[in-house]
Amino acid sequence: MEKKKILIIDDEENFAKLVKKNIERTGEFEAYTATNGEDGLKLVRELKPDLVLLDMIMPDMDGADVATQIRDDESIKDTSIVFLTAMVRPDETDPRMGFTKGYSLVSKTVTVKELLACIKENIKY
Amino acid sequence: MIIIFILISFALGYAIAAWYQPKKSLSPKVAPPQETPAPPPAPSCLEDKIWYESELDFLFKFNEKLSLNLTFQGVVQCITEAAHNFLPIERAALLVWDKNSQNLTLACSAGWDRGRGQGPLVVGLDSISGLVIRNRDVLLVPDLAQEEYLNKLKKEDFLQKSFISAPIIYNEEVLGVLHVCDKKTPGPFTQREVSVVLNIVRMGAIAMQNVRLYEQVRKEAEELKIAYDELKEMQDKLIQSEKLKAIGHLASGVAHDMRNPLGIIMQGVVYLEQIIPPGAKEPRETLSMLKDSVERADKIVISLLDFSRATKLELQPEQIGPILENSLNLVKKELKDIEVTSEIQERLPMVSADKNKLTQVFINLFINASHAMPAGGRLFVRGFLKEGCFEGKEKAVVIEIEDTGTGIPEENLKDIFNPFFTTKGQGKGTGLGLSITQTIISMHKGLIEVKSRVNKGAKFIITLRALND
Repeated sequence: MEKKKILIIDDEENFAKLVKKNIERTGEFEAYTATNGEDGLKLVRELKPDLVLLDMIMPDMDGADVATQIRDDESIKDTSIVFLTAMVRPDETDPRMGFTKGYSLVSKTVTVKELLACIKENIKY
Repeated sequence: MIIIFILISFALGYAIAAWYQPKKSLSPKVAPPQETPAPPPAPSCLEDKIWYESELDFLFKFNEKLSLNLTFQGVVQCITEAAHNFLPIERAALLVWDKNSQNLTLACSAGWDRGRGQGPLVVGLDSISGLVIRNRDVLLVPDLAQEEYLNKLKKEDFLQKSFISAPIIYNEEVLGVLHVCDKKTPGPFTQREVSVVLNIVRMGAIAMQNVRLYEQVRKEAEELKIAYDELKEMQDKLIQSEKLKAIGHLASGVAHDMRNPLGIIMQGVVYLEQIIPPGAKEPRETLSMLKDSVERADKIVISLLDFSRATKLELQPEQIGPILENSLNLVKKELKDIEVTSEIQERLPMVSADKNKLTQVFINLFINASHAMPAGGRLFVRGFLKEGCFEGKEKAVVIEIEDTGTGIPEENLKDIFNPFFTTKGQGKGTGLGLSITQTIISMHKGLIEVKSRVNKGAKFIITLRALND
């Protein structure tokens, strides 16, 4: 089966690299990283990833701006998005709740197990 | 020499005689059409002296009594009773003038009662008292029945036969009227008696004005004190709210900046866990320790986040009972050695609440209670309706959370709601829990208070405004 493509957009480079390593170790995913919104958008258009793990708070272009541009671009508008954020409680990651209604949220201190569960829940197979 | 002495004696005698006589300006004007009252029998020198001395003594005592009175009603009563006690009369009455309503109200009477259930006696300018006010002059009536023009006016009940009515005037301003009525001794009122009445109203006017000013100043001082207290309270609240806001911003910033490195450590630990062989006991133990520490640090970050967000509420009408029960369920594990008694009144009114935030409050208080009872104990959760809350005006839903734990020392009671105040050991508490709790309750426009005694337990009482049905 072809590996699913995951793009991690996060200004914390080390965090993005480690998440990439951890999810690639499962053998099910191929992960890419970008450390700002602009580069991230370019990669979304270029790679057409199956899911974007998107940091909420970034300098210049934040997660909400990136998500809006993805949704506004006909060629990539169906890309699955999961927000990564430092600003939520573990119990606020339910997509029906909180300030990003409709999107799944993952806390930055999430365990890899929980992260993978969230990715699998949101990816379109 | 003898001539000079005679002249001096003559001059002194004349001066004394003039002084004994009431001054011309004080002499009563008898209202028209006048029948000049028969002049009093010429007093003997001795009678004059006795009268003068007793009047002087009376006025001295009257003045002393007036100056000790600090209330308007007290002064009015003092004037009326003084006139009634000193003069040989049946009745005395004092009416107070209100220039706004242009009415006179009976403020005090002696020797006469209005009778129960009749309400206050109020007369206008078309009454005999009104005439005195209009003329601004004393009215001497030897026999009311003979005064046709007075009988056309509205007549106050206490004015029956003879009377002296004197306006009470201070600095051109009319304050009221004093009536002294019906002489007990034979004959009409004398010049001396009129003079006493004039002295009483003159001194009374000063005292009435002074006490009015005093009452006004006292009222203003009281209003100023209330305004000051309100301002102080508002300032304290503002300072507290600004302080909380500042800490909130700081907490939010710290939470964000801490979460990122914590996330990196967490991802790194998980990565290492996967590549270290399962048999490598020591490295795995080390990783486990790292992971625990990250989780602990994350909990602190979560409480900072809670603190920074405590002021944002999503309010809707809620029943408190289910929120309390749900909160108890969520902390079942922490309360396993504790006997919980829940007494929540049925059909409590709704409250305007953020369900999630109140859950956070209750969980926080339950967990604090469990920490206060490490060897087990009892936890009482009560919910009931209380009338007359919030300055006695509103119905409230009261929630009491009481434990039988270690209690809070008295010196700590004033600090327990302050941010970063904790008595728990290092790493066990952020000192934000009760501060968040109080902020959330304040945002609900509610109250939280605590009662506690060391080793007897603690009781937290939350009062929330009940919604109308």
